[in-house]
Amino acid sequence: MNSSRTSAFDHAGRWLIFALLAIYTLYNIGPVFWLLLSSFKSRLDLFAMPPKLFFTPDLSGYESVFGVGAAANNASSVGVLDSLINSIIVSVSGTSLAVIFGTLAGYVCSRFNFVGKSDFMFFVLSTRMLPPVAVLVFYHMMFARLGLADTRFGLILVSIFANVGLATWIMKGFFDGVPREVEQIALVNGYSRMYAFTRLVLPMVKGGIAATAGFCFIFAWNEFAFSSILTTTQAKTLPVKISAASGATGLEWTQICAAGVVLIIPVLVFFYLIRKHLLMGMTFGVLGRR
Amino acid sequence: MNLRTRMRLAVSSLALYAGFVASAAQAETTLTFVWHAGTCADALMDIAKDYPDKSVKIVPALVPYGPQWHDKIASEFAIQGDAFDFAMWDSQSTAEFAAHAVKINEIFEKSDYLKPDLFPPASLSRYGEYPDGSGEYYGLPANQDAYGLTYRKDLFEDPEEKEAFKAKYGRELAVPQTYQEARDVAEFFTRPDQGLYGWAQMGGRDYDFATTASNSFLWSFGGELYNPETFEVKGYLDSPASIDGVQFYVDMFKYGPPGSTNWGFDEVNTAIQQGQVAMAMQWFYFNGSNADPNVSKFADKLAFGVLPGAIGRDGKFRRQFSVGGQGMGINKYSKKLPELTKFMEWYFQPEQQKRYAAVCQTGLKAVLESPEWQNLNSYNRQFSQALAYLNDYWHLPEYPVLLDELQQEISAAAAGTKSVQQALSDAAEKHERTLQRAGYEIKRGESTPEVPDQVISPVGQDEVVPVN
Repeated sequence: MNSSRTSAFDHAGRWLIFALLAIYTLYNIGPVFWLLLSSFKSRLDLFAMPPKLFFTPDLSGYESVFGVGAAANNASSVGVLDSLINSIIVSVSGTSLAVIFGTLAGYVCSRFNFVGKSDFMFFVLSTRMLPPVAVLVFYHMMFARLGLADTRFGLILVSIFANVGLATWIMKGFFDGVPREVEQIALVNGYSRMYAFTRLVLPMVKGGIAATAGFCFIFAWNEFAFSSILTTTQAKTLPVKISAASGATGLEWTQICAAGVVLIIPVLVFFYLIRKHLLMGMTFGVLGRR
Repeated sequence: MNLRTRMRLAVSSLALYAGFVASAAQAETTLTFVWHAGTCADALMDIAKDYPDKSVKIVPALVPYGPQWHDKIASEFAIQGDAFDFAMWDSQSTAEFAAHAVKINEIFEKSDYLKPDLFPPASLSRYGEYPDGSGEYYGLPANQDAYGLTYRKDLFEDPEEKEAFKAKYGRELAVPQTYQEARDVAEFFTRPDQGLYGWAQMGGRDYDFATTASNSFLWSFGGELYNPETFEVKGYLDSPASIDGVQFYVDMFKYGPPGSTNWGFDEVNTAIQQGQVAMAMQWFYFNGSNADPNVSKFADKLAFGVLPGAIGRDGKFRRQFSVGGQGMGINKYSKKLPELTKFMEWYFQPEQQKRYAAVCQTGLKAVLESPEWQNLNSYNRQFSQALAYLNDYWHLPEYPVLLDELQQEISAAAAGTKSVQQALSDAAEKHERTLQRAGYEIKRGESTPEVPDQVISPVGQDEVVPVN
């Protein structure tokens, strides 16, 4: 009797957990599904009450995003290709370099003591404390004088500046989790510090690198404030281009939703590629050390 | 192939390459402009494609409508940069940007075609003059706009509705001439059980949403934002007449759809296009799309008119509402002024402006006065009438700060978190502080008027002057 009651409780508990997970999944996936659906709706269908689940698909949003079809000659259409390329180049380069510098700096801060270490760590973190708008004009002036305004290289530099502090702190945390004995054994056995770092330590924190890269990539991909001021025509990134999607009807929601779908695809691809390392990285190594 | 033939081929190739490079270099003059994205920017680009000088390319640097648009121009001017050559900016921004813009008077002097009399004097002044009345211009009226009225003509013309309205209010159902009339009509059509509401207006905190609408009430009731002679704000912005106007604006939300106190232009458009409201305050700019059946479910049931006025506490009738649109200004740090002047001389020809006027509102007198333009659509005639009743924000370089402060207070009043009187008093306090910090000397008078319009360029009339 007791056993069957326990089993019933287990069963009910399992269903409850499933139900909660289903609600949570819906809560997370719902907006993405809504975004996808809206990207195929005409303005009439978008605002129809009650909302329509079944409708004639309208591709004008995607036409506008890719600057083809009826939208080919509209200056206001997003014309995503150039800005997509800009976004990819800036985000991938900025993320890669920030993670490389952050990994090196994180390792140094984890393993070595040097004068002003805590000040340095605070300084590195403080670069993320300032709201972009506080330094925008100075960046703009500096970049204009250096010929970096409206260039991808300029945005890559901004992306590195913005993310290297975060990368340093996260990576320091991961290196702190790796026992120093790992390197000491290598050093005792005659291997160099570089060998120990690259062959022994780095593979142990690759989950952390993936997670750091994920964070940095999201920040770089969605960066808006600097891009909107520092770019004019040549180096506009996708978020900036999408924000200008307004037309005769006001805000072109179909176009904005279509651009939103296009905007999240590279992030999905990136996270799909690093998914194996991500879970361990996101838990800051806890799962990986079990 | 012998050596000589090879040499010939090489020389020919070099010559061809040099020619290609030369022609490519020749086609490299780009004139970049900043504007908010939309139909009008599209129209400019469409027209520019036919610019006969193919060595000049017009490049759009489009930004969203709102603060980003202003910030893009302001930040480039702040560094004295030439990332763009010309820009379309809001009329009220002329004061802020004048120091960085080419004085158009110099172009008027040098150009054989571009002269002040190409444009209506009021338009030229509205979109380019700074300081007011100085005769110095920093922009040309590239895109005019006015705050207007959109209404459901099917409801206004319905015999049953007309009869029911007359039975309830004792007068004919008609497009309102005063906000007092508009309130009755809005009340009459407010039927939440049918999903129908009487009135839609902006009330949002963003950019100029709430104040565009509230100022139209404030001015019509005889209020003023400040005294431009003495720079007094207290006693003007929070004068009894100003409070009357803004209180009326806040009260009109009773006849709007739920949540409309947060609305911007896009939500108002949606309500119009879905037939959710009988009347709405909306820019003429959007009439084209609201009358388009591909966008608006009620396109064939809509009509467009001039906004009402109001009978103020002094018994005078005033009709004043917000000016929209932009002037075309030239970045004085641009190194391409000769090419740009030539382009503008071509662009402001009637032929080009007729094309522009098919989708947006031109500032060229020759087009505005033509019967062809007046009858081009269902709202141009009303738009030309509306031009007589336009008023604007402060023409001061401190405009962005003043706007943000007033937006904060008016949207708080619209949301009901502050009384109108408190909101306007707080806004007046902030404005005087901002002006003092900027170096203005506030010359306080012995008293302040109950109806400020009576002492600042009065427009009050003894009786209602109907339009529409």
